Formats: sequence, structure tokens, C-alpha cells
Amino acid sequence: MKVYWKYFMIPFLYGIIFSWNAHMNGHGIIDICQIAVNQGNGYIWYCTFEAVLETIKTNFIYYMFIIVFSTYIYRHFCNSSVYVFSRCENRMKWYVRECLKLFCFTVIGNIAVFAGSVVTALLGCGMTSSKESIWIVFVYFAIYSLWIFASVLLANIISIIKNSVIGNLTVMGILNFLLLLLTSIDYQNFTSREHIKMRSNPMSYTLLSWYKMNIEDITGIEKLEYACNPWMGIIVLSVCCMAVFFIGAMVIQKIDIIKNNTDN
Amino acid sequence: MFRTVLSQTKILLSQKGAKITFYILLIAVLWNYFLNLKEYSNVDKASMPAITEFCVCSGNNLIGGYVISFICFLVVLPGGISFAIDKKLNIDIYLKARCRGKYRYIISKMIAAFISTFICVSIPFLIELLLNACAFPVESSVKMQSISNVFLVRDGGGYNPHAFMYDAYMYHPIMYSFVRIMLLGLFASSLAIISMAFSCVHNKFLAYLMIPVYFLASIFMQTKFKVFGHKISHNYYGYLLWDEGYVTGEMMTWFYVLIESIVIASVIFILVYEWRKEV
Repeated sequence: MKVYWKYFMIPFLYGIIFSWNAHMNGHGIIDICQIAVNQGNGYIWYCTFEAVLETIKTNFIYYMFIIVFSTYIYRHFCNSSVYVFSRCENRMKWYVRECLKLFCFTVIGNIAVFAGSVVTALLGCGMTSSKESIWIVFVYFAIYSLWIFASVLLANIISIIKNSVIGNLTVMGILNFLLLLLTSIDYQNFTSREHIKMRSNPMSYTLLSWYKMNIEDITGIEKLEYACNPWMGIIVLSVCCMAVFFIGAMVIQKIDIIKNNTDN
Repeated sequence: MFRTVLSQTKILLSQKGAKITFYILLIAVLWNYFLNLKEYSNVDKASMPAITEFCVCSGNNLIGGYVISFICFLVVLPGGISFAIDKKLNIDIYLKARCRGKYRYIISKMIAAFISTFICVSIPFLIELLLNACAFPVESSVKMQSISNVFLVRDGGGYNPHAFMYDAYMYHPIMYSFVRIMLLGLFASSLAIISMAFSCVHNKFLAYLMIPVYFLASIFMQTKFKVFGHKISHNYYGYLLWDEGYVTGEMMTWFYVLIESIVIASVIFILVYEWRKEV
């Protein structure tokens, strides 16, 4: 566990690097929710080609976190799984505990990215907050923690089945592919079919601008007809997390040790 | 030395990582090619865009955006992780003996990783260029179809005449595409060497070898800093996707100077690190 603490410097530095230009050269005091909106892809109206690239750019911060923590559960299987599991009476209990720790790390990682941006905002242009903006920040943390947790856990599970490189490649491939699928939606002629297409894609819940949250003053985007309640996003992403969690539970019960592993 | 490099390259190219990279890129370019065939099968020759705009890496191609964002993970597979795998499986001891010396082994490994990554990344795009050149008229371009457009292009109206290889982009699209593919291959192979250098220090988990490459890519995403006194804005997609407008010749030159400087530093680091280990 101690090994992973030093990696929290990476999201913190990312937060500083990517907000440096905007905050140090910015004019006027910003609201705290503006940082959440920036980091939560809050400026995406329609998912066009440019919007997808912009989203991938923003998500790069989180992808780094996924790479680092994609070995958190997997490492137990690399060379010491015999020792770990021979002493472990209930493997399910062990797995639940590891998942909870991983979720805590995910939340802390998110806070680290946010804290980096807050530091530059405080140094550069000053910051205010209100009750409304705290709610937006909470939604950002909830949505992004759940999304990253599901991705990291999936990367761990695929790493256990194949190896860590394939695990990461698959997860990044899936995430980017789901984003790409959002471009197939016809936003001009938004029928119920398009609505189903959008809402069945988990990546659509990671765009903060697609929620009913009164962020129009910040983003300049008028109220979208397909905007949904933030609680719905939290519920859908929780369901995704649970699905990945149960798949992981099945995999972990079956695999004792990884043969011919290059990560040992 | 030549034989050692050749045999190492053959080994790397026959490994699973190289095949995965090659086939992922090949599927992407073929998918794009068939989409283009479907879209432009009934279009008149005069209304067709230039051949550069059919390629995966062209400015507004969705598959291209996906491939370019994914390529910083893929480059690690053919050559970047080879050094770490050799060390983990203890093959390096035998290879050092067979190569008649530690440095011969390391240098040949680096050259082989560079060449194999270059091949895995550039060959699929070259195949696409060949297919496009066969399927679509090379000389056609909407921008050049009328005399007024030709004058507009010549004077840079609506376009940026200082853009990287502007003349080639407009008048010699195949040459332009070829040069850009070679540059993309160079970029990918350079990233492979950087991840190889990182594997000297940290090779506990192979996935972590993606971190330095990924960090570099994300730094190039949206930052602005000086390279040897020249202030250029770094835009990862701008440099790797083909566009007549954004990247100027000067920016492109300094971008590659920066990348190659990091590669040279990485090579020196690998040699020094291995030398110190011997002591």
C-alpha cells in the first residue's frame, strides 16, 4: 500500500500542469465548480470529431491513473499469490477489502487532480464558492470516481487473465471506442432511438454538460433536451461498477496463480 | 553487428506484441479504406477530395483520431518492452554471450526496437496509401478543380502557406503522405526507445513502461513551452494528423528536434546505466 502513495504526486502535478495556462493568465475570480466543469468535460455540447478529441485530451489525466493502479489487485497474483491465498480463509472477503481500498485510492486520486487545479487557481486568479457550486463539485467527484474505479478494476481483471499491458490496452481501447460511438448519434434529429443509443453508452454519463445542473452561466451552453438528472448518472455508473465487481469476483475465485507471467 | 541487429529485429517482429500492433493498425486502415470506397463509389472525379484526405491520418478522420490517441500505448508493444522481458526471463545473459559483449547486445537491441516499431507502425499506413493510390484518382482535388481555386491555393487564401510542406500537400499529395507516414514511424520508434530507457530503472510491471510515453504524449497535448529558445505550442493531434493549416514547418522541425533530443538522452542514459551496473 505504501508503494502506491507516491503515485498520487502524478495526478497532483497533472492538475497543476494542465490548469497552469488558464489560471495563471486568466482574468477575474473563478468559481470552484468551473474547475470541476473543466476537468469533467463540461464544455461538450454535441459529440463531434473535435469534441471527441477534446474529451480524450481531458481524459488523459485519468488514463494515467488507470495505468498506475491497474496493478493494484493484479500484483498479488504475480509472484506471491500462493502465500497470499494460502493464508486467506475467505477470498471473497479479501477481494471486497481490496476493492474498497482501490475505490478510496480512486477518490483520493480525483481529489489530487482537483487540488492541483485549485492551487493554481488560488495562486493565479482567486476562487469563490457557493452552495450550488459545491453540489456540482460533488457530482463531478461521484461520477468520475465511479467511472475511473470501474475502468481500473476492469484493467486489473484483464491483467489477471492476460497480462498488464493487454489489460491496459483493452481498457483504453474500450473507453475510446465508447466515446467514438457517441459521434454516431444524430443530434439534430434527436428521436427516442437516438436517446436510447446515447443513454445505453456509459461514456455519455461522464460528460458533465449533459446533466441538469445549472452550469449554463459557466459553459455558455443552453439547456440540452437530452440532459439527465445527476443521480441517474451516479446510479448507472454504480451499476457498471457492480457488474465489473462481480465479473472480477468470478475471475478471482477461479485463478490461483498466473503461469508464464512476465510481470513477476 | 549487422547480423546481430538483423536477428534481434527478426525476433522482435515475430513476437506477439509486434503482431498485435501491426494488426490493430491494419484493421483500422482497412476499415477506413472500405468506408471511403463506400462513400465515394458514386462520386464524380471532379468532386473528389485530394488523396491525402482519404488517409486515416488526415485532419478530420474519426478513425484517425482514435488511432493517434491509441498509438502512444501501441508503440510500447513491439520494441519498448523487449528489454524488460529479456531481463525478466533472464534471456539477456545468453544474448549478451551470443552477441559477444554487453554493449553490442544493448546497442543492437535499441536499433532492433527502433526498426521493428518503425516497421509495425509505418507499414499499415503505407499499405493504405498504396490502396488509396490504386482506388482513387491521384490528381483530383476539390481545391484544385477550378482556376480560381488554384490561384487561391497559390496565394494561400483560406489556407496557411507557411504550413508544413504546404506545396507538397497541395501539388504532390503522395509525396506528402509518404513523408508524413515516415515521420509518424519516426515518432513511434522514438517513443519506443524512451520506454526502453525507463525499463532500465523500473521493470516490475510491464504496464508501467507506458507511463513515460504517455506522460510525454499528454504534455504534448495542450502545453506551450520553449524548445531551444523557440516558443511553440504543442498539440499532439496537430503534429500527427495531416492538416494544411495548423502546424508550420518551423513548429514541426522543433517538435522533432525535441523528440530526438529526448531519444538521444535516453540512449545515453541506457548506456551509462548499464555501464554503472557493471561497475
